Amino acid sequence: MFNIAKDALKMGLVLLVICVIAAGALAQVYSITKVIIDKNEAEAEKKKRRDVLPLAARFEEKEIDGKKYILGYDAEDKQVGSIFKAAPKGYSGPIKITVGVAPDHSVSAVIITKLDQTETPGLGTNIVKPKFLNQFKGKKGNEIKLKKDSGTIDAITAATISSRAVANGVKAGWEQYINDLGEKK
Amino acid sequence: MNKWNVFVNGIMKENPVLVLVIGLCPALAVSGSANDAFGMGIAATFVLIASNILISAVRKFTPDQIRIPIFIVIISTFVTIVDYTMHAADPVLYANLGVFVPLIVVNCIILGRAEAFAYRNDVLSSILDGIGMGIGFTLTLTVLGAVREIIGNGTITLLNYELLNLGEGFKPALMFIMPPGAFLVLGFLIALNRLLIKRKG
Repeated sequence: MFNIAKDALKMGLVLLVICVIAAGALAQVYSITKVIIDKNEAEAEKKKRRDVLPLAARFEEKEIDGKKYILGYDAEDKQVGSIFKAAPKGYSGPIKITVGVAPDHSVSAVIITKLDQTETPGLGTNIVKPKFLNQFKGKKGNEIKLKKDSGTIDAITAATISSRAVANGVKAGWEQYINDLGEKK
Repeated sequence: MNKWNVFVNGIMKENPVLVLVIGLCPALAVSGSANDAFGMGIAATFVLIASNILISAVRKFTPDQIRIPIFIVIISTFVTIVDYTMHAADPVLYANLGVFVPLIVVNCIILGRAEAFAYRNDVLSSILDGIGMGIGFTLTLTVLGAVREIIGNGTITLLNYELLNLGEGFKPALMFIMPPGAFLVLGFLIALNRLLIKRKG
């Protein structure tokens, strides 16, 4: 009887010691890496804004009916465009899209980075390539659709679902943008 | 068994993927490109070596009845460290490997070596076993990834550099970067390894 209790106590103690050491080590690593991870994410977001609106010198966030817009101004405080985000459902999970709109309300740039999507490697992931994304430049309204859906965007071979998700996501976001910000200018 | 044998065992004669046929889940799932496969191999190798060292070091104080929970705590600690570090150091690789980074915890190779080797041998042998098995795993995954990537996508990338690009004119066989391609190429690699072992006698 005494031996069983002693064994159980010893086992508990050994496991406790190991868990405490493990938890301590993890907390240490977490606090170091968290700083770097946050910094990386903030930088990636900044880079995306710059890539979408290269002329903008500063950005201002604006919320209309719960939808977030980022307005870009140049050095003379003239508005050079706006940014909105969309996250349509792709082939496997959401695709996070960053869209820039020029002052004439046409799409000026669409950016999707590798980290913004989880499409099939080698097929759907081709939506991050400039060859596909550059097609959106200067488009408006019903032009922002796949050619198969009577629009002007060429889908990626063997990745129609991903291509359509991007086109429709940009279009829906653009229509919302016109609704929220379009008439005022 | 001398130290040299312990080290080379995992590379060919007892290669975890090709001979023991364990750790297949990550081997099949993330070997769509040489780059991802190599990243997974290195991550698993780090966990394998680190957990082998620790498990071997505490084996004299480990009560036999609760050795498995202790192995799991040690292994999952190192996996979480790898998870955080990779997220900070290489976000793209981290995104590509996705759920397979935390799943290193249940990689049979690591728990298998802990139980079959590190728990019964001294620290130095356990380190050598970890390195050997790790090299075997990484090498197999990288070759698997490279073959699938070149046939299925026309490129070979390693450490984020494009080593080879067959260009626009090459029509890739997409099947090879999809799941069936993984099984096909793995089958050929197992056969090749058998042939090489047999030739050596």
